[in-house]
Amino acid sequence: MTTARTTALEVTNLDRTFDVSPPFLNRVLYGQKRRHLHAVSDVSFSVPAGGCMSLVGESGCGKSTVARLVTGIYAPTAGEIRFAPGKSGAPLSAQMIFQDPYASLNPRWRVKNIIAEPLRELKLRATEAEIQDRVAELLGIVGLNAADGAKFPHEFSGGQRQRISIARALASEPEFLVCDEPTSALDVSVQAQILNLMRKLQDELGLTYLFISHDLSVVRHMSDRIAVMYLGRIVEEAATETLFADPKHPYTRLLLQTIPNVNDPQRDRVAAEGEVPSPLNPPSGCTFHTRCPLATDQCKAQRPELVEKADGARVACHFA
Amino acid sequence: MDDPSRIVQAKADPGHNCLEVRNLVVEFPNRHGTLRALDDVSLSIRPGEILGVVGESGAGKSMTGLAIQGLLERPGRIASGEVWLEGRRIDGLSDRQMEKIRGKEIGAIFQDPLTSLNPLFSVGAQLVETIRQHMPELGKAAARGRAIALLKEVGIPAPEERVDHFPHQFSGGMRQRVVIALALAVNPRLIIADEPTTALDVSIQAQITGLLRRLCKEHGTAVMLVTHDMGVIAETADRVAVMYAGRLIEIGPVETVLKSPAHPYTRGLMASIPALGARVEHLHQIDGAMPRLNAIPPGCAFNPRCAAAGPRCRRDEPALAPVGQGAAACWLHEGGVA
Ligand SMILES: Nc1ncnc2c1ncn2[C@@H]1O[C@H](COP(=O)(O)OP(=O)(O)O)[C@@H](O)[C@H]1O
Ligand SMILES: Nc1ncnc2c1ncn2[C@@H]1O[C@H](COP(=O)(O)OP(=O)(O)O)[C@@H](O)[C@H]1O
Ligand SMILES: [Mg+2]
Ligand SMILES: [Mg+2]
Repeated sequence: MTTARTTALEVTNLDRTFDVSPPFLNRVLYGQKRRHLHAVSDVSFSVPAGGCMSLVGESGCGKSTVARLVTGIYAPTAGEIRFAPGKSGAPLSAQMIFQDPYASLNPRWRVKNIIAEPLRELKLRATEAEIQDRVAELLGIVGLNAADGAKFPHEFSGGQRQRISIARALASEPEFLVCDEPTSALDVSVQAQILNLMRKLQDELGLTYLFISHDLSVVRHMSDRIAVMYLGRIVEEAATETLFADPKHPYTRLLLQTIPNVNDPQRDRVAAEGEVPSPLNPPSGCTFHTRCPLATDQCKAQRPELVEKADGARVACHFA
Repeated sequence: MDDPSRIVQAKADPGHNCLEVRNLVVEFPNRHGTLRALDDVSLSIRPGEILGVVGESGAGKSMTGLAIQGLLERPGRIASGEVWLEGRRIDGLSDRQMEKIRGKEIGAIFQDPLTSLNPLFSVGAQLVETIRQHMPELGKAAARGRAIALLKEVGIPAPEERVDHFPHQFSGGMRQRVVIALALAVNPRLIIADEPTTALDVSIQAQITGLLRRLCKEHGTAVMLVTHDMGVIAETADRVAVMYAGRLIEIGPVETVLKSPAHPYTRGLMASIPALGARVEHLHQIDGAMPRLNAIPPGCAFNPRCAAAGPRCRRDEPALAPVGQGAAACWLHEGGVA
């Protein structure tokens, strides 16, 4: 559907483990072992410039960790994250938008100062008057009034706060935005406002998005490509329409079957039993085998590679 | 149309309602005056029926559940209206009497299962305590047997073993099952479930709503399912009530309300949900935000955001009146002139 686009971000074989060992004393006194949690394993994907790539999956599958790796909040244990050069020639810089706009806005600062911070920090404007003009402009871009700059975050609703964090993210003129569940805390009617705003900004400013959500209908609305994650790995990655029309991994199918569909509710469904296993103790072979209707001995023993199919989808399943 | 709520009630056949809320008004007096958190809310639920209550955050969904259970935080109070449970009026009962009713006739399930569980006791101990409070004639062993049976009923694997585990040893989904078991322990007539699946992943969410549906049908329990998730409502509820700014603005059978909503707000809400089927460039959006309780406009509370609003909508507040199989509070349906 798209013409050949340049790649904005290339992520290869990304790995991140966390040391979740018990305290030193417990290890010495009670012989408890060091433990490592493999939050992200061998994740590779690329994001086309001006496009939107989404990560979906149930909580704990590693979406936020990927987001934090991409924005440099965490360092990778292994693997590479390469941003293409942006308009200025320097590598693209990424800004992040979080799920809880309130937690990411300093409650004691007026909104105009919150938005001006990156302008001052990066010396993007020379004079105070220019800074104030730019703040007013940014507030306008996200659909707020210049007068709102004088207020504090608590005076705004959840949706307006998310607009403020978008304005602040845009202040440093990023070409790449990492959005981690930006509408998950919002009501649907407000979510529609924010998603529409994000699409508009993408068109007008030529932004590239790495978008994260657990909500497949939101992801479908926003993305060109979707990667489905399970226990730290990508199990399927495909163009949006391909993924919905022809989901190949049994986990993708499980997700698609279980999301309640307002337009076509399945009131008599028997929900698939089982839960996501602990990432501290992941199952052998294909980590989905404990919940998979197709699982065989091969699946328990051998992890399937992520393989590219004829339609461009990549799938990690022995039976796909 | 003198009293529209009475008309709605009459259709629902009050004789067979488990819960009936009539013209409920909840107020919070404060220094600046009085906040009206619920304004003239009327609804009913039959045995074995799931009534979904939807609306955006702050609409008054939880408040409705709390008022029914007599759990309003002071100085909040029921200023007028009535709450009937199984033919008995329960608003205005003493705290002690309400406590009895909550333990025996109303089961509660909240969004965070940990609010209903004590971290210091095994789930079995908590179940046994609840069971014996309400069935004092039951011995310890019999109560434990019933606890295990309940855990089994809500789908906890190896219940004989799990009964001795502590809440932190369960996953979020399993904890919510334990809470449902606790709510069921006393055979309540009414379960009030407030966002019971909001903190859970979709695949677990489907398990929990399926469980609620099955239990409700099998035991003939009336369920008030509070959620902001239209998908959950679509798959779980029999009827749905839509709230906005402390008012109940539409109520009716789930298919009707979701597929052909009568109130412009419900219509906007439904249209703003990204579809799983087809992709659209632009989502329908309702501009603006729900008013705060201290800034509710005169007339219809939704009028500043409503494309169809006329002078009457800005002047007089519409009451809930029958539309098709349900009811809506909108002047467009009352003679068709806004
Ligand atoms: N800083 C951290 N220390 C230890 N474990 C972490 C840390 N951050 C994330 N994890 C673990 O890594 C896994 C993936 O987490 P996360 O990326 O937040 O998942 P998601 O965003 O998909 O819900 C989880 O098991 C989580 O508990
Ligand atoms: N203790 C309180 N005092 C005053 N107002 C309250 C109190 N608790 C809740 N409210 C208000 O009542 C309204 C309804 O809240 P609630 O029922 O929790 O909404 P929801 O539909 O999200 O469950 C909100 O506007 C809220 O701010
Ligand atoms: Mg996350
Ligand atoms: Mg609530």
